[in-house]
Amino acid sequence: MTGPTPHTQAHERSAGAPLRAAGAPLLSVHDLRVEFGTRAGIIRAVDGVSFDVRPGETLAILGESGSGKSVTSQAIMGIVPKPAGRVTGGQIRYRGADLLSRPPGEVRKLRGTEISMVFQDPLSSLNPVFRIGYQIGEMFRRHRGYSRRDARDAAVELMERVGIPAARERVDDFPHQFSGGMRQRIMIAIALALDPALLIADEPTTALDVTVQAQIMRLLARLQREEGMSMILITHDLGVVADVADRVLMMYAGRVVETGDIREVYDHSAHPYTNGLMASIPDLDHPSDRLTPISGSPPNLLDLPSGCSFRPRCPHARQLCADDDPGLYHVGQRPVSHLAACHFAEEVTADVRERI
Amino acid sequence: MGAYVARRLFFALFVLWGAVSVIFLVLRLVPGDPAVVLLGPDANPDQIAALRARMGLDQPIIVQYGIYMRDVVQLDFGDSFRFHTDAMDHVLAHLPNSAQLAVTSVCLALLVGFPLGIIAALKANTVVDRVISVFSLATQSLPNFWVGIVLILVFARGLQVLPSYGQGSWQHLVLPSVTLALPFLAILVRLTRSGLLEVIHEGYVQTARAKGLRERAVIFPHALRNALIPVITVVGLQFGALLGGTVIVETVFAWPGVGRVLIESISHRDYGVVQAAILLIAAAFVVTNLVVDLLYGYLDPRVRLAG
Repeated sequence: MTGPTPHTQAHERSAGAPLRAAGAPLLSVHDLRVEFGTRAGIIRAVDGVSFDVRPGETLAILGESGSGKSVTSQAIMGIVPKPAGRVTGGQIRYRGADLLSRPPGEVRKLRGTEISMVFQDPLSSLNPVFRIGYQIGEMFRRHRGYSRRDARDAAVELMERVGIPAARERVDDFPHQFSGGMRQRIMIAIALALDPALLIADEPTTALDVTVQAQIMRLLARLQREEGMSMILITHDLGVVADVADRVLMMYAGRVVETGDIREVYDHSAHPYTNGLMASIPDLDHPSDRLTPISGSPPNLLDLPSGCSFRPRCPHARQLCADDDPGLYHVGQRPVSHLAACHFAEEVTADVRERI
Repeated sequence: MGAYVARRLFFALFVLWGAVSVIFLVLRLVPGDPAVVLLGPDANPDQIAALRARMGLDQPIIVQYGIYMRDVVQLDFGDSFRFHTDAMDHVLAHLPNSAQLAVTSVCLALLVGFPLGIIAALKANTVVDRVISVFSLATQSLPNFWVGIVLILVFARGLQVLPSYGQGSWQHLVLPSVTLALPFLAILVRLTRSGLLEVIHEGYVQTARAKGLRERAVIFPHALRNALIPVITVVGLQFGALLGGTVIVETVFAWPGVGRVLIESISHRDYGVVQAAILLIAAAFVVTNLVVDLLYGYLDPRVRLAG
């Protein structure tokens, strides 16, 4: 982070920057670091990630496998797999209080009640040997002290709300008796049982049939609107993000490489990685075009290159990129909320404009 | 469910038939003549031949087998050559003693083995885990008769706190049941530990944590129930090994159970009693496995559909 770079000077806020709802963020992650010990060495899965989530907004975290997006969400939930993984630094402030410095018992009480999570694969995320009524009802029994009977009734009600047909008949069924989409609805019912203020959805549609993916996303969007909750949507599907997210956070090799409002980042992407992802979206207007993949392979976290981690795959890479690790900077000429970790962000956005 | 149980019971009969047929054949093929054993070394050949004829042993083996099978299907398991009583009655008279020993051992193994396995898994790769694992590996490797003799030397001869043989008070039960329980307990510890460690990283355990459940509410219903499914299967199979173990342990501790009856009857070539004892042990084995399979269906609902 030393030496002058093409954009160290601060830019004033451009006139067109969207105004954001005032007030404190619901969740504020600052300089989060998570490491995993493996046989081959220590992996920095999350390496200095910072972002805010405001009340009622949807933040999308995008990135390929191993970019640290899921580990970030596990860290927020306090469920980083132990003993291999551990949070080594940073702060996770929820309603102002740092979750990392509070006793585990207190943080546990927030899980499911304030912050909930929906996982990628609903089949492995539901317990195969318990009836779903039990698994949903557990939220009411353990957190709210409901009786078994009341918890079961509450479970039926929730199942109806997330669109599971014949809920009363199916409440005593087991997970394997449901389809993938229905299982994910059950997971969503569990997550939303106690009206959390923040929902973390970790690739909620990846394991599902394409036909039900849209249904699940619509359901999540509807429930979010009804509850007024915030959502962190983790995905690698840019198409999904465009419809539901307010802001986006691009991650690569454990770091944030670009962030900003969704339209801003889509239309004026300032990091070559974001650019590459955009280019690899199939264009339905020209379905015969070949897709343009990002060259090279995902980074080896055990052996990251010097300077910028994306350098080996980057068409813009120069000597500066090898010498100096670009921090996350405001992209010149763009709204203040648009940040990118690239020495040549302005050049990249200029390219994008030309392309359009 | 009913059809499933009926099918299993049918196969159980098949297994019992196999067990008793093998032992019938083996008894008659090994050297040693019941008539000679009964009459003693001074008997002359005529006496022996007369007794053999009375016992039906002069017939070809296939005819003896046919007669025996005809009787068995009518629940007549033959007589004891030695006691001239019904062979099955003789064995059944000793069954409560064996059952007492087996049940005590199984309870002991379960009550100690499960908790130790759970502790080892929750404290994986710590000193506590290492101590438990080494202990279970050691006890699993030691043969029953050797452990029995060492326990007798230490607690009966050395410390003189427990009786070394026979039956009567609860103190008599301690050494034989501990001896019998140890290898079973060791397997339980190791299986519970590995089973729990295997499921602890499963998605549904992560979900349970994400639900904000207390660690206890995560481990006990969610992780343990899944971890126990494979353990239960092995427990059923191990119960068979435990029944075999009673034969040795009852001999070491002079415990008047089916195992000792079996050993004595073999040395006296008391065919009827040996066959009855084997049949009973095989039946216990078969029933245990059936119970385990039904329990399996209860523990894992996915099996119920397939059943």
